[in-house]
Amino acid sequence: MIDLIIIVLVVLSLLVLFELMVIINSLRYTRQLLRIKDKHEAELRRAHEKLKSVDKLKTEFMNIAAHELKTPLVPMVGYLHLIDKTRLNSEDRENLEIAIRNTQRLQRLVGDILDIAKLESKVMKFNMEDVQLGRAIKDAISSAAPFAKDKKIYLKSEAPAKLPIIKGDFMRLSQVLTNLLNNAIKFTDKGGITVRARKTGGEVVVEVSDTGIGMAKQEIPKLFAKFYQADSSAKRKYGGTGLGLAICKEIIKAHKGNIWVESELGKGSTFAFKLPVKR
Amino acid sequence: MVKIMAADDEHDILQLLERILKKEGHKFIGCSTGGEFLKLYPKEKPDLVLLDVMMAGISGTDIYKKIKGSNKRQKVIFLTVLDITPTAGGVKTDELTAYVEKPFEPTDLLKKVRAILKK
Repeated sequence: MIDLIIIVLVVLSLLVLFELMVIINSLRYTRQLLRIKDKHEAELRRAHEKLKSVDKLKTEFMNIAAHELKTPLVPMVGYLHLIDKTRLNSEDRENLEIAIRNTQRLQRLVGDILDIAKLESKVMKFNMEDVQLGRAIKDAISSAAPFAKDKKIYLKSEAPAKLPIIKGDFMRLSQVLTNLLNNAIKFTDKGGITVRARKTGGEVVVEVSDTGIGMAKQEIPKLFAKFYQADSSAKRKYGGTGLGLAICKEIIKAHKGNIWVESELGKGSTFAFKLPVKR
Repeated sequence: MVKIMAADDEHDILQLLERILKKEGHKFIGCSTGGEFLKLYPKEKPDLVLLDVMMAGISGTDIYKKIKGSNKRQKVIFLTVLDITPTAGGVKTDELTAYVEKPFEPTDLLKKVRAILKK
């Protein structure tokens, strides 16, 4: 009987010992896991800090690039416009007009390349504030009006003066509107351009419709891609960087909106975008 | 006569501003550094200030904070490339502050100058 008790005690002791060893091993393993977790967390923190400093460097670089590329353009554009055309003979006047036209082209190219670079590297800063789109539409129309007048086409607004407030960057949204209006004017030789806006559900929809050359259905999906132009003869005839619509798309996307186009060859196009109303 | 003070570290741009604004009949004082501007500002008491945002040393934004600290009614136009604005840098601006995007045509600058002077 005593032998049996001793055997049971020994077995129980062995079991307890085994359990203890399991617990000790588990503790050791948990400690090891915690050490690995701490190490990984530290690595993640370091990577995050590194990414933050890379973002900062990217922003600084883009700001310096923008400043350095645009600064020489200031006197170029300014002094060319200060030349008194009335004192020039016809050949010199033509020379001046060519210089102005190409400076403006360079100015657009520099602006577009910087914008797309900033949007793609996600360093473009948006100054989000309450925006009255009616005002942005009015401003964009008044700045595009002289170009429409030059081409003897109409440019009218059927947008209500007051639209719901949206949260956005006024300058960037004005850039989108100006871009769409300039494109519409560029591709319209007869008739004109109408701007419409309306509230639909929780969104504001803005449309720029023209009676211009329009485009074939197969061109539409590629239209918002970088450097794309509907056909190479259009590039020769109408010029442009082919970046404007890609920039518009990115800006609207950054405002949680959507941009699209409806068009028919020879009948004109309607470019539209929608933005969420401020809640 | 309207007195306009400007700070820009690019000599050609300062001269351009001077030519545009003098032609319009304004008195113009140009400074090529922020330090020079801040030294002359209390004495000159300009009606309007034009500031380049990105200048070496004392920037346009630094000048803005200093002059608005002493004179809240000071009218200011920032000359800036689109993204580099004091607002983007976290500085609060008011209704007496406007922006002209670089590069600008003389008529665009004059439109903004006339508009802010009316305020």
